[in-house]
Amino acid sequence: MDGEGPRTCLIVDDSKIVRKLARRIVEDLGFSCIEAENGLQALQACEPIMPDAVLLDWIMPVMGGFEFVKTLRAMPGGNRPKIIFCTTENDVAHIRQALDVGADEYIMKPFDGEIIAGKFELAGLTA
Amino acid sequence: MNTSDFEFLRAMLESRTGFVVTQDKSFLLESRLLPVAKKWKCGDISSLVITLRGLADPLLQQDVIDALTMNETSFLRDSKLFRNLNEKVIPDLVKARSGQKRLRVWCAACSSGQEAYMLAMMFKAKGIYAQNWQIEIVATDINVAQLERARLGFFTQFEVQRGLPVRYLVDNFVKEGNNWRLSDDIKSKVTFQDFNLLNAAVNLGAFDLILCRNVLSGCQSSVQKDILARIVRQSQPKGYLLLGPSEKLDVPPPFQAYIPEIGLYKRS
Repeated sequence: MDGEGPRTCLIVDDSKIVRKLARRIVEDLGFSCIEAENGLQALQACEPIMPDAVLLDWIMPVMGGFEFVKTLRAMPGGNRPKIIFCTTENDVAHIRQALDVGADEYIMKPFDGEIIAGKFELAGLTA
Repeated sequence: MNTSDFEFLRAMLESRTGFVVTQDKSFLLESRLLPVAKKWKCGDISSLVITLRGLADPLLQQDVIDALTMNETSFLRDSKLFRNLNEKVIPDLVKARSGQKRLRVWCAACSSGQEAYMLAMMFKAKGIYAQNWQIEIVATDINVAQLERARLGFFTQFEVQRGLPVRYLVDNFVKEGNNWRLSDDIKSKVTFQDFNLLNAAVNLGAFDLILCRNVLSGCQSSVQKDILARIVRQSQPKGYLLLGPSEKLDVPPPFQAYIPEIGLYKRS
């Protein structure tokens, strides 16, 4: 939307396989991707420049996804990224918590390319 | 499948539904009909066709049509469409009909019901039901099996992630195991009905908004023309018609293209 070059997505998951799979799908949507293994690494990645999107696991070592959203949303410019949870936590209570803390969309694992593309669109990131 | 069996099935599908299939889809036909052949103990497609050529049980015929008209659908995958319905079409209709506080919507070829339910959820989210509006959403299809599924309002985790904003999910569904059940409140807002678009639609009454997405492009142009003429007759002045965005159809007046990139037409 603003700026030049491809838009950026930060992929946060402690599983390398999930990051790789998600990265391939998100790159196909025209995003340039960076990866982080946990919430803390993700916050550090956001400091120099906020990404356009964050695809975020819930349970991770060091710092989980929920803590990450809470901290990010309180940072300067932290309201800018669209945050999409992508997690096996798939009950109503978790989803409500995520929305309340400031997530924009929610993907319940397992996911496929169509789900990610659809959720990016619902979050207003594409078309 | 041999040519004469294919030809019989092609003709049966077209005369019953208006849908055209070409020979290159014969493998698809076969894969969809094998479970039907098995269920009716016909052994293979040839014996199934022999049974159909005779005095076939109407239930068997319905099973065949159901298998061949099975379509996957999503809630509202296209965000531009969602935005336009939510911010333009619905507010405009609500304004235009504020006198009688009554709106009627027709989802033609509704499949497993997601679009119809989506509209009900949109009306609810806008607080329109709470303002004592009478909103009638009529969803029709010829696929009886799909209609039964639609009435259940029970969707898999994959299905509820196709075009459904997560806010709508938590506000309107209850989780049951790995599936999600739509609330009785939303289910009660949609009436599902077995209806063939090749038949006269007068009994359905007149509608302010008609959705007929990605159906007509599968039919011969003469059939498209007939169905569109019937749709025009069932539409209200200033009403809307929504077709698939990439369907190239001759929509007759008084409908006029309104937002072409989402397939939206509006009539005088």
